[in-house]
Amino acid sequence: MRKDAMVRATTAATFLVLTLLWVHVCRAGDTDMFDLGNEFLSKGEYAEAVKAYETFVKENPEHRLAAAAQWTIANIYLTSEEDYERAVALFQSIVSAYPNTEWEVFGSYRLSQCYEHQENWEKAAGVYRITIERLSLSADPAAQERVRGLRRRLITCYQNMGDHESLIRTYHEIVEADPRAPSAALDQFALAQAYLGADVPDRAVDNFILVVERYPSSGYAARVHSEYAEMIASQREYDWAPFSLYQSGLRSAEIGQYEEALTKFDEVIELQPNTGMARAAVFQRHCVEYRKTGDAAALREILASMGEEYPYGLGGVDVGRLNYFLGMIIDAQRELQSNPEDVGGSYLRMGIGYHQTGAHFCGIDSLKKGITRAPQTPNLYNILGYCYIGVQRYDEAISTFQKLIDVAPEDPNSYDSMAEGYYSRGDTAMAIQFYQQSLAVDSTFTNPYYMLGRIYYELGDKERAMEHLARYVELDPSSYQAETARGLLNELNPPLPADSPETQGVRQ
Amino acid sequence: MDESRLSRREFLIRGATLGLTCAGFSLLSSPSVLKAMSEPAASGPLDLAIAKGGDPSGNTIKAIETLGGIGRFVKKGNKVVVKPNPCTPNRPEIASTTNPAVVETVVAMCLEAGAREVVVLSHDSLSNFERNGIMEAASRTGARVVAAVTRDLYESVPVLRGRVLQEVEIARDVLDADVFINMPIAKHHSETGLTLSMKNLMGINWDRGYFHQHGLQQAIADLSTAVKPALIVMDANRILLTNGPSGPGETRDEKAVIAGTDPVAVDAYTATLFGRNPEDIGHIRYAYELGVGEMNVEKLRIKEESVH
Repeated sequence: MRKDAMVRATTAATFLVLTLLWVHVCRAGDTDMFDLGNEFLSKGEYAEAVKAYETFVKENPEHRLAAAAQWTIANIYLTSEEDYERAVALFQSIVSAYPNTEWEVFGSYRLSQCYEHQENWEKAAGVYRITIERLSLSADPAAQERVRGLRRRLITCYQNMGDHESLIRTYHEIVEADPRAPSAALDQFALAQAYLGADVPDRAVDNFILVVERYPSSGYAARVHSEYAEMIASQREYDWAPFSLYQSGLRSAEIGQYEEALTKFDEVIELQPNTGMARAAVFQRHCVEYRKTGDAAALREILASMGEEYPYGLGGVDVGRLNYFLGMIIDAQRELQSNPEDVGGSYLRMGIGYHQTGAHFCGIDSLKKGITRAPQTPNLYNILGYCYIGVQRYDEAISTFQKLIDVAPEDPNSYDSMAEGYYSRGDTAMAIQFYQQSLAVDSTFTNPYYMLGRIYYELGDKERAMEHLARYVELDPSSYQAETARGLLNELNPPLPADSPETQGVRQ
Repeated sequence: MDESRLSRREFLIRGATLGLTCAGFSLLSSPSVLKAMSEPAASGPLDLAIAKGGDPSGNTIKAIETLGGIGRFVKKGNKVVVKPNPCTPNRPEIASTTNPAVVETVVAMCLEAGAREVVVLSHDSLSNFERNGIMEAASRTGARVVAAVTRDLYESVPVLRGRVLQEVEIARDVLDADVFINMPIAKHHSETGLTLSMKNLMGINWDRGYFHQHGLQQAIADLSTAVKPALIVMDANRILLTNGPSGPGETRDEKAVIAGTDPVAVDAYTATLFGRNPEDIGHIRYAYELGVGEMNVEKLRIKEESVH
């Protein structure tokens, strides 16, 4: 009896083990541990998440999600734990385990990121280069997008390594890959500066001139003119007349002197036929026509048809931005057609679109119509005031901003706009008064701090300038103006040299 | 969370306990084995519930009921955030925005289930909400509409499973919610092929420009690893076949609402309505690779109901 019972028990146990083994094999693809890892991750319990993912990978090394699990573990070490050594090891194993997949590409990128954290710029650059080479072979537009991003990382590496030769080579690659890119003027400018850094002034001059001739509408062309004209003159003769005419045409167009603008652009075309600047001038003529008529659809069509013909992105115009605001105008016009009883919203959007594309007179017209229908809408007055500033009609801007204050007295922006009206007219004292009033309404509203900082800087009141700029940086550290504010602060209060007695004192 | 399944914590504890009691019997301590024993693979909740043939509201009710009812997702006292697609001012005829009737129905169901608050939110202008009819629909039911157009409404969260995203700024209301319901419209998109539930999540995120600059399809998939809706209600009552995402374009009256909890599954199935292979839509394939969900429609447990 006892023996039979033992046999039965053994048989049952064997059966159970075999059944469990079978179940285990059948369920080899089970994702419960992966899901568990995800759940710990979503709760921020990273150590538990790592354990769950590791178990999943151990149990299912061939599972399609094994890569995703390893990837997440590596990311936890990189981002949350800042354990770069472990992250490097894991990303390296992902790169070698999954060749010719997205994991390899992204793994390489993260691997370089780890090296950057370790300030191992050389290794980071090496991996970036290899990844770029592989991605460059792909016809996928997303891959090309990634190549652009990786080249930018390479720039950072070479800058930190002080490797001018590689820096120049990479800038060349960036510029040549897409001379129409929105950042093309900046990249050409940076290339020129890289040549300067490498002490190759003649090539620097070549590239500064290319900035002017290819991208005459960009701010970088204006910077070359204002900051490097003397340096260029020391290297060679350069005729600035066409560029000065072009810039003058832009200014005329901006303030609504359309006929003068057209004449100046015609002269540029005549002086510099078949050059980048001439093509840019042809496009500017179209822009002037648009500003006269407000026909956004027509300019959009021109953009679409001319974009491909222009090798340098329409002379440095931000085509994406222009397209966006033209689209806003067209949509608002459509909305108005379908809803003629609109209470001002369509006029406001049209006004914003016109203001942002420099068609200030059309903006004024739209916004006035909007105000007739919705006289209590603050933004209509606000944008109208800025359109008046655009065409240098400062008194009308100020009276419009007064109406804005009447409609929205509790809004700090109302006083901020009024201050800008006075500042544009050159009345600094009134500007200061209104910026202060804006802060009295809301002491966390940031723009007045920046503007007051700038005004006090211009007035030579160092202490007040620093006080306001520092407050601005504190309140809005990531804004585009914060960088300028930091620059001014450094200028007003330069950091002490490392070997100064004061610094030594601080160290002790 | 799906309550019909063993909770993850409970699952680990049980696994560990059994492992201890059966020391030396290593297989028993394997959670996957325990799981297999407690829940056969063929059973379990539906992946997708599809209601077809009725009006937008009727289809919505039927799809959610078929999936287990709103009570499966919303409990008494919950804060619910609903994310429609209000990206244009167009009315539902154009099929570029979630049908207001679908939004209204879901909000009403949530409130009926005892939700203390329902927020209808998107990173789109208030004017869009007003003009496309979603504001009116939401207001009728007592929901609060949030046009999340200022940065202070967002909070940064890490994206540790992402390939191009490492962090995103997500609308705080979504992060604070007990229940997040994604309510996209199914439509064509000039850049991504289609815009479905995962693409709709771009409207709870602050910096959309970053997505476009760093590989839109991958960024959409990455975002889906960081934010998982409790429920997805896909408005496919009328779908936009061309000229998306804004329209107007060619439309087709599909008269369907698809409800599910797996964003990849919902999007993959919906892609087939457009005659598209889910694998060919970049963000669906990438999200599948990242383990967000299942894109093989033949593997999904689907129940289709007719509404008359």
